[in-house]
Amino acid sequence: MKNVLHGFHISGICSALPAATVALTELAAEYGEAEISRIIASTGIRQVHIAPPDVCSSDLCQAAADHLLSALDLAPGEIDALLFLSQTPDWPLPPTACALQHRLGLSRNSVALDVNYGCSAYIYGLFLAGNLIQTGSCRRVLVCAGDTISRLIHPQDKAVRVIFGDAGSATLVEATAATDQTGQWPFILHTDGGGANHLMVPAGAARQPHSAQTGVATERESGNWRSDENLFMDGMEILNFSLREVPPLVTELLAMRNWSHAEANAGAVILHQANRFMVDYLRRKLKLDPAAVPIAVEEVGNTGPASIPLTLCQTHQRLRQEQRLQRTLLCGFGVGLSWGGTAGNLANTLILDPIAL
Amino acid sequence: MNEIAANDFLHLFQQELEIAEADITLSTPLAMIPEWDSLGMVRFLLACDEKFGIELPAGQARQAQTIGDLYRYLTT
Repeated sequence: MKNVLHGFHISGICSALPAATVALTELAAEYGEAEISRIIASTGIRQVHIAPPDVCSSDLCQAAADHLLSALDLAPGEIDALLFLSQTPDWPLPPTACALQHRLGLSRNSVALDVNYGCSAYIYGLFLAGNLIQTGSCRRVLVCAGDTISRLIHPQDKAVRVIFGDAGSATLVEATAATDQTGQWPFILHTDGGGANHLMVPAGAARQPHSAQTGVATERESGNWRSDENLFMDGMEILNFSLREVPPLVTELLAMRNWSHAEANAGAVILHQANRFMVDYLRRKLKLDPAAVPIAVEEVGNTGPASIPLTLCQTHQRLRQEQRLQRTLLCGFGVGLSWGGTAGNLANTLILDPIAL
Repeated sequence: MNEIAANDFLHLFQQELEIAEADITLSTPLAMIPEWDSLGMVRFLLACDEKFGIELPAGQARQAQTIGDLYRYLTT
């Protein structure tokens, strides 16, 4: 799917992190000090935030949304739709978006939708919000994207435990009358369900319901334990997929936007923050400077749906100071498999520092 | 057929996996190298693509028994 949407802009972005953290060095006793040093050196991840048992993705998104709406001085009743993008909803049903509609005090005339996506979720959120606005159905859409992925990770599965962290985010997308590029957003979205098994939780839903057996962890590969209800990632396959698909996607978006390579290099290219070597590798492949492609994994890890907005929240001061935000490209890729991107002007977007919950 | 000197290949391998060069030869079994885990593999495959312009498929890298197998996959 490839299309230019128009008639909206991103008014504000806020992210929320659970206050509790796990430093990777704390895991040295379990995995060995040399191993942990090697992981930190490669992934660039020093710690991840982990939500306590009573905090869900929706709570993190709610905190971010409350903070954002008050900073924008906007009443919740002014919002027409809420999209909740997450792989860790509060329940199998009802939709968590309905709970958030109520908790945030949105109108009963609003639309509330759950969308199950991970590292590409934010692009889907903006795409759906843009469509709702362009058709005239909505004027303001709140995009809430976040995961408490720690709930799905087996503590003895090193492959994912040292990478993924919890976070939530809220983004307000609003209709605009502007006809210049501030209201235009080219979108590209791709899907390949053929790779679904490379990143999945195999059991616990309808295909393979929970049973005594699905909940039992066994050793799956050298030293890594998990059950079929835990998150599984084939890092090699995901890496191959990302390296193959992301560079041409970015190049195509730049062409749709008519931004030269030099303009992109003077702007901000926000890639999903899988880990440092992945982002850095993609950056080199795209021949962009480090200043144009922020890496913000050190304190938070890979936060899935919240990764792109959280990166903006962590780096906005520098990006604004260097006047990069008027040309911002966003690109997500992961579970599905799915990958997509958009590009536009965030110079007039209120981007807030991350808050702690 | 890709022309890559075995020495360049071994150097890249030890550099990416952060192991002493003296410890490895083409006949070293990968199972003897604790650094050859999924993270090490990912780093090495990225480096091969970047340095030699060759994308070695993950499946193939996983099947390799020795460092020499990796070298053969890359050069044929």
